[in-house]
Amino acid sequence: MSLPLRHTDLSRQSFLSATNRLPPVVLVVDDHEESRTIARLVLERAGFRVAEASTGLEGLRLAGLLRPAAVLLDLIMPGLDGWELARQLHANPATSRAAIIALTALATAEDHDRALLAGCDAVLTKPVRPIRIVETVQHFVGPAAAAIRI
Amino acid sequence: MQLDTHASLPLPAAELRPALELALALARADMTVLLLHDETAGTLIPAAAYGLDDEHVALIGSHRPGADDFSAALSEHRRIVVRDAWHRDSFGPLAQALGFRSIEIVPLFSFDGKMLGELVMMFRRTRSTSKRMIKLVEHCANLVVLAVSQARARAEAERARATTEEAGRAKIQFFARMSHELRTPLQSIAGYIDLLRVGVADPPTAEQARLLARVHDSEEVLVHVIDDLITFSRLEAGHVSYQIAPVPAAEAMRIAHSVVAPLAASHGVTLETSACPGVFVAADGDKLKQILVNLAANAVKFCGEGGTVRISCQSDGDRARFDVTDNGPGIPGDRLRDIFEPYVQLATPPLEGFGGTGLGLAISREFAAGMHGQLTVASNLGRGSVFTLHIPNAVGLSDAQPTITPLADSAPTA
Repeated sequence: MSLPLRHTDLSRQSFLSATNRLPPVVLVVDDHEESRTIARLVLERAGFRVAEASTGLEGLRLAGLLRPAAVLLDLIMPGLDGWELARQLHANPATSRAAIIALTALATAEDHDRALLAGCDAVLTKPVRPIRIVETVQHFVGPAAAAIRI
Repeated sequence: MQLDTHASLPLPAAELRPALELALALARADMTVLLLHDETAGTLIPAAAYGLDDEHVALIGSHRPGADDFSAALSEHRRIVVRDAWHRDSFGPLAQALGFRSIEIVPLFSFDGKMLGELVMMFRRTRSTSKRMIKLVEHCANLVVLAVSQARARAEAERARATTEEAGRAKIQFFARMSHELRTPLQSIAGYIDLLRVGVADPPTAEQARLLARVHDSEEVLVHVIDDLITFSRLEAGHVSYQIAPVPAAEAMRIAHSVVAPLAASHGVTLETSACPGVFVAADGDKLKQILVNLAANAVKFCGEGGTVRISCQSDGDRARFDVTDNGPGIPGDRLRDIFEPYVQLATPPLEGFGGTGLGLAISREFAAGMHGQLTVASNLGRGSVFTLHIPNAVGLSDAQPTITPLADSAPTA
């Protein structure tokens, strides 16, 4: 089985394996492909390993499998939406320790409050500067590997 | 007793029954039923009754005007009195089932002459009719007409109010949806611009970086326009709530300063913020912040390179005032009056250097009013303008804990 993990730099991977300290995994769940791509590019640049899921259900499955340090999720998704995904991640002991960050195009305080109530640790409103995504992830899980940042 | 009201006549029986009860008492009838004429169906339908249970009302049923004796009163514009209903074929079975001896049917017409329905009064005993009684029953009929007209007017008003409310909700939903649909592609634009700027592919040349910065600025303006439209649609529909708490004036000013400072720097404008220790205002922290940011960002854009914008505050009795002063070109007197009106900027030639949706000041004024404050402006052509927010001091608030939310993704709204 191949996991949708992408490593930008193989030498970095071996370096990290050698020090027995793989960078944390961030799972990006968004039905909008562009949003996933941007989050992946910017998070990989900051040294994180990134997995992508295009549906809530796939996100739930990958979260259980990969035990990510952080989950970046969209709220409005067909099927299992972001609020429900956050609730289920939060309720499951296997994934409850992951920082849950909503990245949504919904801009009202009510929608954000609902996300926080569902178990999200932070809510970012689209459009967000990519650096804010990195800062928010780092706020919860710490820097990926400061020593080898590009 | 509850009656099903007909769909096209949504009149609550409870509203009609007092008039029926009065009619019953005055005419010394034992039971009474009000039949209303449904114009679309062309039938008389029981709308309310007194002294009868639902089953009996069902026995009376609905009638087509002109089709039977029951509806003759309305179709022939005359009052029908049957002293011995038992021995009249068309009323006999009903009279026996309901237990009345005499029946009197009065046609009801609205004041503009339209068929309204019938007032039916039933008596257990045979009764003789005096002139006075005829007059009394006429008065009763008028009372019932009045009650029906009133109930209809109320139902109509309620329907209109519900429609307006529904339209307001639909509008908010539409704006929220538009906002969502616009933000999603904007996320891609913002993301890729920044990725290019930081050189995720190759570091951009100086010229490319300059062009990317311009795209970046335009994208941010677009986001503010969307924010303004959403905020304004919610204000218009009355869907904005205020969390009033004591807010330290200095903190609100500091936050506004930090939000507007980059804009001021890029416009070559000096931004000054005066010290304002010890002043607490009764405000919604986020909205106060947004007003100050709006005013300061407007001032920066308006006064142009080399100008100075100053945010200051002072306490004055039970109120405090925030002043945003600029030394820009000033606003002509004939524009001062309508500068707070929404859409004015879109409807009139723009003031030089004054971009935006034209909603920023309208939003600020609404926010000010929502916090029991007031937004005013004074201007001297060629000398500059002062926008002033008057707002109550926090002295009167019971909650003595000063609160202000930390700086979030605040953005100037111009």
